[in-house]
Amino acid sequence: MRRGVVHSALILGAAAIASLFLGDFRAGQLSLFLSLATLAVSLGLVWGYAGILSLGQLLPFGFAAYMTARITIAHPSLSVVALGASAAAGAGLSAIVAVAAFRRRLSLVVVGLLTLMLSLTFEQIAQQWRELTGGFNGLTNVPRLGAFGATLSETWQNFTITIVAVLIISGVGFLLSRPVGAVLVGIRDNERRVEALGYNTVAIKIWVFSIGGALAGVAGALYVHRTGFVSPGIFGFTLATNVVLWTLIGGRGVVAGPVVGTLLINFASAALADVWLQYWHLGTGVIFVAAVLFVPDGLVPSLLRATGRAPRRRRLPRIRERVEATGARAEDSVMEAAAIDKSFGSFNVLEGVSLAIDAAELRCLIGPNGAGKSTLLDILSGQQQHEGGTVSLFGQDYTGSPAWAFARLGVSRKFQAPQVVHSLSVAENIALAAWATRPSPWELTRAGWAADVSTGALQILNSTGLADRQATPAGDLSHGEKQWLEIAMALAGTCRMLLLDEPTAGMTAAESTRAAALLRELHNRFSLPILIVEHDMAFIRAVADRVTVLARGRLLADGTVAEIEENRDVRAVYLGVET
Amino acid sequence: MRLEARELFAGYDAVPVLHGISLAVESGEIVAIVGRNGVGKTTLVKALMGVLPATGGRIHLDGIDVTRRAPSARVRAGLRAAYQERALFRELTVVDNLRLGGFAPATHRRVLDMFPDSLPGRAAQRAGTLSGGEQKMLAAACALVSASPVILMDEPSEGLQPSNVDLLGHHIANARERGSGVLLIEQHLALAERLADRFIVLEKGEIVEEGLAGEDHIHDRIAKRLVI
Repeated sequence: MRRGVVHSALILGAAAIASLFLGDFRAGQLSLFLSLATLAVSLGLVWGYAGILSLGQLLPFGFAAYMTARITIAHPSLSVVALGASAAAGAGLSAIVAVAAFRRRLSLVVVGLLTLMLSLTFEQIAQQWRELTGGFNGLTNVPRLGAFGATLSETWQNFTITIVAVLIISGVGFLLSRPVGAVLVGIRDNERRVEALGYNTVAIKIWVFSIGGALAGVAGALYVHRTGFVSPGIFGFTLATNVVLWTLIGGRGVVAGPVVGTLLINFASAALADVWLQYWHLGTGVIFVAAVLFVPDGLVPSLLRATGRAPRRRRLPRIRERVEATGARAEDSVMEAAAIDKSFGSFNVLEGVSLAIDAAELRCLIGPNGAGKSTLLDILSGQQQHEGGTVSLFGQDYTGSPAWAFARLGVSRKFQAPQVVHSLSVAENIALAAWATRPSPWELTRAGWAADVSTGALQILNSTGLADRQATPAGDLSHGEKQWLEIAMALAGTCRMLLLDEPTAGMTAAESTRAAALLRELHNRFSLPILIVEHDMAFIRAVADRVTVLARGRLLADGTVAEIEENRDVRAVYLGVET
Repeated sequence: MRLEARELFAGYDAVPVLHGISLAVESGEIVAIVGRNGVGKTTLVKALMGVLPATGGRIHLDGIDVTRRAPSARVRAGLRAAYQERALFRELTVVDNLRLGGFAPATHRRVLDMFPDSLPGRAAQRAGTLSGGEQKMLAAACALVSASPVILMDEPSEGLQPSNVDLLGHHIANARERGSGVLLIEQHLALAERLADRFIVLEKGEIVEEGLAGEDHIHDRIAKRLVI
């Protein structure tokens, strides 16, 4: 963190000196482009980090510009008020869009188009509502930044805008170097996994979209002071696509990316405008195509990589042991599902399935392929809704609750196909799971870049060798290593019940044996109730207290491993002749 | 037909995974690749198929160098893979998946009937709603029915119920009888030992052990390598 502060201070100093000594013309360009860079950073935040390609960052930007123009034309000394109002209005507008879009879980493409359409709608409104917006010509003679009855000189306005923009951009960088940055990347890569850790991903997306709106609002206010006028074009398609272009060229996965992209393209276009005015659009088109082909993740990440430094703030979170009793309290029933019905269209996956798991029980769930085992685990962890029946946890009714609510209560899940966040390192994946114990955006921005991880998770990391590979991106791990990482993630935070879907898939027999021993040990040491879906009978013999058999969506049998292996029905539909 | 890799290198970004693998699979034989987690087995399948570019070495199919050929060209030349991670079109029905896979309507039944307890009732269902095991069975059945001269199978038994694992073994053996060569990556050692004519053990991206089925102490030599 200290290095980040030093870097920001150096950049701030350089920007201040540049602003004061470049002369009014260049300093004016710098402040103008930095206000646009702030807009681009707002896009970098929602797109590069949270994965939401918003074509409508101009909505808060333009709205704030018009609002600031109206306020300061009437009252030139109210710039600061207008700036605050711009941030609030930008956040508010984006929040409305975000609530409408993310609550309904609209696809990201639809969200992108929705934001673009809204911003084009505002362009029309700005053209037509002449009394308020001045129509086609817009509002002119917007005064410079002012306070206490005076406005700043051009030089000092350039200086102020430059400083404010650099401070805001540094602030975003600081924000993203906190756990929330990793959580956003997690949501972008694998929202289901992140939600299953206990993060209310919808709320976090609404929150980050609103912050993006506030940034765009402030950018709009600075921009209109600097240009002195605003017209409907501020909502238009050209600027909307240009911002995307700058962000893409600079690199959307790092905060410096959109800034570098914006400054580079705009200074270049200003310098070349005299010579190449009529070809400029052609020029940007060529640059865009070249950038997409040769530096697909942007200039800044490519440069960092070329100089041997990791893109993004790839400092590893420090993993510490959290000494705390995991596992269940001494309730009689940890989880009770009663009469669960579930269908996909006309196909009944589960029919009247009831299952109760006691505290300190290690249960295996087996059954023919397609019996509905994974679907049942989905329902027991809130991943899928069901038509009939109830699910209660620790004596409370959780029927219909979202996945993150199950996870916060301590129901941890490992999916059948291992789900980890591919572009984050092993350590960050583990930290992501540990940070979920305090999952509010506020906590996530305050917490440091260290994670307190349960003893059980550390034990798994150490005994599987993952502890030595903390910097490896999770996407580069083998299938079986991802399984272990995901099990460790399930344990890292609050874990009072563990649901594992085929944990030994992709493991050798020796590894399965070790897995059985490890799970048995976790179960005994932390009196952790575990429910495991498996096919490997050797593994099941080694771990299970009790086995439940599901076939064609119904319970077929229930008993000890020996009883199940003797059961004639089970032999017929599941085990086959040889076993 | 013969699939041959000579001194094959491959990896992800800057991380090399395979370090000079040389092996061959002939028509009518089953070669099992075993090894612990993360030794490069899946990477080997991807590199042989061309899904992941080889960074060094050559791959020959029927004597022709296909090292720089696209995966589709290798499929046309007679190579086929059933991948470990599910590779179906989730939004399409099972039958539409088969159509896209190039299976004539007459062969659809043969694919689905390979696992009679699980697949036949699923023809009209969206592939994404199949269970994990059913998706693996469908992928394995497609590869086996294609009767490609060389078939690569990455952990086909993973997620299958015991009786279906037996069935899978039976079908793989049948493919060999019909003349296909099979490169079988399998953690289920008992299944691999029942089927394979030859064994190759990988460790850290290199071949550390090779042997024929029926050789003295072959089981112990392999098992020793798999101990942690």
